[in-house]
Amino acid sequence: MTSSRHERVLAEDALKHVFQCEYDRLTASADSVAGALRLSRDAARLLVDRLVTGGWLAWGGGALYLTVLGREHAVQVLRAHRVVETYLALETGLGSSEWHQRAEVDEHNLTPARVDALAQRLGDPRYDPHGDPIPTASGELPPAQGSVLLDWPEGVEARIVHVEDEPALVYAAIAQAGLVPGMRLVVDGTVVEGLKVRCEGRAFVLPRTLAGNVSVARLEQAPMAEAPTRRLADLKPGEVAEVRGLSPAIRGRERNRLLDLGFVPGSPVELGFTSPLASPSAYRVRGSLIALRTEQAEQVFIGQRVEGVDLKEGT
Amino acid sequence: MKTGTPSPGLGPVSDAEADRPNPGDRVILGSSPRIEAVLGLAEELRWRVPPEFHDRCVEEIYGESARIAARNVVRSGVSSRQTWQRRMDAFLTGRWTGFPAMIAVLAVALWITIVGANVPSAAMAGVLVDTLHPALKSGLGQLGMPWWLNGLLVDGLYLTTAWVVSVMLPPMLIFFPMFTLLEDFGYLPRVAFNLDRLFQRAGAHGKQALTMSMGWGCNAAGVTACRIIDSPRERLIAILTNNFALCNGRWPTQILIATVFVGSLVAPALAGVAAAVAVLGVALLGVVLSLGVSWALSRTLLRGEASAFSLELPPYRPPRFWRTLYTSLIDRTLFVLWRAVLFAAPAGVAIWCVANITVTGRPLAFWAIAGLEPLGWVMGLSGVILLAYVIAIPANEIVVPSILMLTVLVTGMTELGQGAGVMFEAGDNVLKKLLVAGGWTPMTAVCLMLFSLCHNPCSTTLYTIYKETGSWRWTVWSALIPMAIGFVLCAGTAAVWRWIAG
Repeated sequence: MTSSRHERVLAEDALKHVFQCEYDRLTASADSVAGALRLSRDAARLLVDRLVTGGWLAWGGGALYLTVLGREHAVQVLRAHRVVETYLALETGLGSSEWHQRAEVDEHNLTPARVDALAQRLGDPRYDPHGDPIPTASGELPPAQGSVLLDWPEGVEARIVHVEDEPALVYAAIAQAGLVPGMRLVVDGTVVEGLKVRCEGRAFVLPRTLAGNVSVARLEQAPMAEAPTRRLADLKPGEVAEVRGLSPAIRGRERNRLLDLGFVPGSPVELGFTSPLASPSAYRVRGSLIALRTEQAEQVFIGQRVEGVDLKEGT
Repeated sequence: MKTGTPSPGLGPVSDAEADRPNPGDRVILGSSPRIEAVLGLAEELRWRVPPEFHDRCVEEIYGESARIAARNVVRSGVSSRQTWQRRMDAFLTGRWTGFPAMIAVLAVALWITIVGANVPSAAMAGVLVDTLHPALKSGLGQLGMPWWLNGLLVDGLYLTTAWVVSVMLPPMLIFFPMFTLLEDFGYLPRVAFNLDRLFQRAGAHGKQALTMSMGWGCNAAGVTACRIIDSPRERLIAILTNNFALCNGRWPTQILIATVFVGSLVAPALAGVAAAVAVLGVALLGVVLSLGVSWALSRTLLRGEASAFSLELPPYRPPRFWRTLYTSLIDRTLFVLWRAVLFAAPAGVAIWCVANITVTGRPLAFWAIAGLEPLGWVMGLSGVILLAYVIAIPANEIVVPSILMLTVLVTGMTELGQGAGVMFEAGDNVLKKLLVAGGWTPMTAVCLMLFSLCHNPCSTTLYTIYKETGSWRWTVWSALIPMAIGFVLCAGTAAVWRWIAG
């Protein structure tokens, strides 16, 4: 595309930006490119001019559009980005704050063939960890779905479909609040500080700035598991409750491991004891004693207290 | 998938299609219109099926199999045993009892090793060193072997190996099985359980508590054990900090120096206890350093958060004593011993050479010691000790014998030793007299114990680190980090000590 690597990265980022604008039905311009890529107006204009001359972008009605060539390339970069993010989330154990940044670098380095190989190894994932659809190898992408949580009607159950990963600070705060694509939630009302939200056994107030970066959609089907009322971390010593499911925040190997250990819907689970340093805690489930950190126990959804169940340990 | 759509692609494949060489499924599938339809449907459903569908499906399958199992499996529990198990857990992981119990177990294990290893160690040295060595030397001499070859083989190769075997084998025979018994009993996972929060705070993986305790046996084994950690970042942290777990090659050094210098500061009856406490202190310092370095690494070179971790706490079982003894002997003791012998033998040759090859009228060792002396002084050590560490890169086990041999060379107290480049076993009193003559003070002993904890890993461990990480860069880091810390610790201790002592 261009000679120097730095220029290529800028050009690809610009194509990606225009693609995202088209996808979200927004208008792309030299100024929006400048904003997205943190360039000066002049530098952005030069970049856009070069891409127009090169046949990647075109002007139409005062807005920037992708040419067929440009769209093809933008989708490749986007696919690389989202596949890498999925890989980082599923297989590396890196924290969620690092996925985006690393993928921003790798998306410019990976060839389409390597991206395909990586995707295949991950079982051709459909969505990245932020809830964004991953374009298929042939470049197909479903239309954008969901609406901003701020506009969602009160009392209607919704599913989080997307969490915006930029700006990083807002994303980190959303992650801190424990909201992950795939979770179900209900808005109970609004207060001065934000939205009163109930989400998988937790009730809290979500600041408006965060709610503006979360997209939700209607539940397509009746949920497969009964709604949870609490999290495993709420369990008191000696109390028994039934597992309702695992949070979508638990992914990949960690998810399989917890399922293997018996944290499956319907399993009774009991808090055995807690480490001297307050975390992890040991839980009795399906005949064994499993230690989970508080952060993990926070991601296991459970129901109400169950009486008269004695959980024996294996012998 | 209940879509109600007939499955057009699942009919029998025609013979023509089946006979065709298989250049890839897509090509074959692409040739049939029915299959084209299936692929199209799949492509469409790909985006229509809700995103969490896959996870929910898997969850349901697990849930269903659990329900089937629950219906058909009868569990019989013994309630008294359950109570016993729960009491053990309440004590060993209790808020106030968990940590004291852990330290007590380690202290007792060390004490048993120190006290118990003395007798067999002396007996083996009596045979291998005091009896066999002179016999071999004079025997080969009478057969007409030239003095230099005799010295190289008997004084260098044989004696070093004999020393390593007699010093290492007894503590290993006691320490490793005890370790395995604790593992078998189910205590080690509880240790990981108690310590997990600390490792998490340090940005390390919870399983690092396990790889660290493996490292107490042998760092090379500990580094290999780091494979159990999935996350590459945390695996590297565990590998780079494993060296802070005092390994089997260094326990004898710690024990020996602590017995000779720390033990002699108190009444003879308490000597064993005082030595054990000193060694325990160094071992715990190693744990603290391991956590501190993990913390620093996860904020600098290996930035990131601790990943999730779940640990199964197996029920306590009475350990199978003889079986454990046997497997720990085969799997650990003999393996480590063989490795030590493999490295000790050439090192013995090297030691003999530096003591006997002369340059401008002085042995090679003399020049090396003179060159290292200033650095040694700053670190509260000496040129002799540093040279011993250089020679002992292949195996930490031979540090003490190298120091002794080189001290004899420098002080000229040959009446205590057995000649230049000859390693020997010395009784505690003789040893102390010799070391004091070599300029040792209690400060030297303390600095040596610290340096023994914090220096580069042995060559086997370095090679293992290279194999596990596939990177020279990390291998170099793994050597530089402990050396830098060792230098700062020793120089700081020496400076403070000299300042207080005036």
